Amino acid sequence: MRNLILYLLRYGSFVLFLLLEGICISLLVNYNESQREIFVNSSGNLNGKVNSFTHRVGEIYTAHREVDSLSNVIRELRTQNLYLVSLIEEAQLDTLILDTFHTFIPARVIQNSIQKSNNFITINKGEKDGVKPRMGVVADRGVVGVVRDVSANYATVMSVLHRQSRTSAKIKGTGYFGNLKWQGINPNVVNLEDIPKHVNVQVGDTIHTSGYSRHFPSGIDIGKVKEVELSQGSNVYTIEVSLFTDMRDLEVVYVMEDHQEVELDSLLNVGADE
Amino acid sequence: MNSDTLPHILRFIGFFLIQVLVLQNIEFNIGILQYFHPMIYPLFIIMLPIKTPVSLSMLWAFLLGLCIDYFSSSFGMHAGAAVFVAYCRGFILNFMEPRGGYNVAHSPNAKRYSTRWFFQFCAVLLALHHLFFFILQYFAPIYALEIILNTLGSLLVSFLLVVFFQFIFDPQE
Repeated sequence: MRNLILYLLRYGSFVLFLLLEGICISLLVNYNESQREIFVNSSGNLNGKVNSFTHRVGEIYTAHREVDSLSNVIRELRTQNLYLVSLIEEAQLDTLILDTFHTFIPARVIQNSIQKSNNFITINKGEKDGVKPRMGVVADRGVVGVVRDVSANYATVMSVLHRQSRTSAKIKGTGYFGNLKWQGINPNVVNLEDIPKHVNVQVGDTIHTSGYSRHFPSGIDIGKVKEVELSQGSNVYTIEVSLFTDMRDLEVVYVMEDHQEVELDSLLNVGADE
Repeated sequence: MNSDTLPHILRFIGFFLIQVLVLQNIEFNIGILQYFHPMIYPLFIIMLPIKTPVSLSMLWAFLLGLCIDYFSSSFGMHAGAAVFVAYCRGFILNFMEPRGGYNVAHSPNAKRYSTRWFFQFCAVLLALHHLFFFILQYFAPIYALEIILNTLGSLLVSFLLVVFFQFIFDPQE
């Protein structure tokens, strides 16, 4: 108390100054329209700033808990997502029917190679799922290869990037067909052989399967003509085709089940017997 | 009431009447003249006896400012500026103390000290008063230019008024 009185005696004039100015400003704000508006507006602004600041401070404190709950939600959603992806894959089995003679069996690529001169792909569907040797394998857009060996749950696919792979292909819009052959160097490019030199081939023409081989039905896209070459004295072009499918980035592929296989086999066998 | 306080009472009433009846009614709306708002009453605070405690001069200033505010419907502006100038007067007096010191019983005026000293003193306090007054009147930093122009214009005419008063009435006390 004594200290307070001493303080007031020493700084009394300053306290009085503040008091009187406080009275003046409260009078000013209460009885003058323009000053009142400015005061109300700016104090509103200040209030808003102070509020948003305290809000942000509060946010920092609750952020940790929010992160925890959010990561829980993310974990749950990921689990659900995996489940849904598998459901979609199952559903595609029923809906992705290209024609009445073929069914698609979706499969996940579990092993892949492109650097060797003879490349194979391993997929996670096997005999149990109806995969058989010599079935064709395609990706979302383009040919991938042909099934070679099948175990109960897995299958190996001879990729188009295999030197012995021969896929019958046509130039879109014409009837001329040839064989696709990989040169063993660039994993994006295969060569189309046996196209005679009188055919008008342009860079950019689409190449698709011919349907003459038993592995693929007609009309599945393979790639685009990248370069056309006619060596001297030759009657056929050497055509470089860039593949639509990026063989380095395969995840889901589809094995094509041919329902007419038995019938066609027996027909051909009858022809062979005679 | 003794003879020491009488001149101050008279100045209080006189400046109040001049300010309210004459100076507040001078209003120019053209050109540079719109920035001229002459004010004489700060001279009452300036001329209070040097020994007057700051608290007391603030109370007097508050009373005078409030009276002027009441008749010019500008509550708080004149009072606030007057209290501010009364508070600053103590510091300015200390700061500008002449070599011989003050005769604390008397009020500062042109006769007792040098004319130059007194007018400098007046100019500083008038400038503080006007600046604070127009800050209160405009009340927002966006009007900074208006505040400065009004302060400078009004300072000019108020200072001329103060000089005029000193030479015409020649106050001894």
